[in-house]
Amino acid sequence: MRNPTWTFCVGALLVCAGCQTVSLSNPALESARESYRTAQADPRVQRYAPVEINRARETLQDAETEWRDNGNTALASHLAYIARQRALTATELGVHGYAEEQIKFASARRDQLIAQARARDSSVAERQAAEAPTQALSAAQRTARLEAELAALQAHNTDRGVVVTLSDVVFDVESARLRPSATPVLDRIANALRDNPERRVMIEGFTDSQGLDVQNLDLSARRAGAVRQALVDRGISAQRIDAQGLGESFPVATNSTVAGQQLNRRVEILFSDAQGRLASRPMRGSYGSQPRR
Amino acid sequence: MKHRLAISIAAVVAAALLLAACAVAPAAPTAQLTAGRTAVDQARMAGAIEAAPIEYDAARTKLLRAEGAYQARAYTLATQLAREAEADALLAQARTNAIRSQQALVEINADIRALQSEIDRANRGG
Repeated sequence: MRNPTWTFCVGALLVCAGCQTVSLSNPALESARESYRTAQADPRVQRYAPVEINRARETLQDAETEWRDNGNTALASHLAYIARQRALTATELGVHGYAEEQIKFASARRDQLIAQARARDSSVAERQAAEAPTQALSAAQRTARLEAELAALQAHNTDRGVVVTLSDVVFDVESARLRPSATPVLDRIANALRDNPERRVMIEGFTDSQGLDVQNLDLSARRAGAVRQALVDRGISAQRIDAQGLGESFPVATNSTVAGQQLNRRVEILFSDAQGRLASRPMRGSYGSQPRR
Repeated sequence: MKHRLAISIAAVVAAALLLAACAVAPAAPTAQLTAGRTAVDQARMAGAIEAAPIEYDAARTKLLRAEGAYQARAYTLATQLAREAEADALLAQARTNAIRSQQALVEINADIRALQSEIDRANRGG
């Protein structure tokens, strides 16, 4: 009669012991420890993903506790999986943060080189202009000269005509105030318009997709207006200049990277044809529909 | 006889308590499901389907299984799956952003090389 009770008690003890026994390895936990070690050793993670690596460590500690002290294999494996994904996420955030920082330096270097190339091109254009005979220029010659001027401005031909793009860097941050670095470009555009009185321009401001639509529209309109005013100040009739802000529409690059956002923050100056006609804008941006510059 | 019966009852009660402690009825994991769904949506909007398809698929599959478990009132399972889905989706998004920014960096560096060689060529040519 005593036997069944004792059997039950011994059995229950064995079950409990089974719960408490720590097996030799748990693959999920091993994998989590490995991913955490790798992430932890990465200086980019320390710098750009301190919060995420902390979360990974805490979750890994919880997993270790469940495994070692509570013997809850299923929960330990679940927590270990989360810890591993968090460690991998921290690693990716580190890679991302570091790349974005590199992009900042590389963009500055690129802008510097563009300015350098532009300065050289314009000195070539000036030499050519000086060598040109002083007699009245024919329409064809004026068009050729306009083309040379625009080439010096890094203008590019689009479906709508010739476009000169003023990058974000010629404006103060989040402001419509033009920096001194814009002066040579604006002088050139004003000269081109003075030499070609039949041409008109359409000035369009754009922003990236960060922030509120209304603010983006406002900033882009104010920037376009500032460029228009700068040309008027240089003696170009306001009648010949249209200006509008288009906000974040018509992106020319992805808005998901800092570099792409910078390309999207711009003012475009579209030149009319020799009859003063301006082409209307197609319905969407060039990004995705055309190869990126 | 009575004594033995008492021991048996005590053992049964103890066992029942032990089981109950293991399986505390969990709350419905609506917050975890919402967090998982949000993370999966954000990963998709970041472009994870192309850039991190393995992690994104894992996240989506687990989210669907979590929703199934939730329907079946298997709340513990639903909670775990939703949390794993969220972790997978956050990883997918981080990986996507990392790949994108590295690509952007490669492009800018290519621009720099092209500009530099253009300038060098121009300087050599006078």
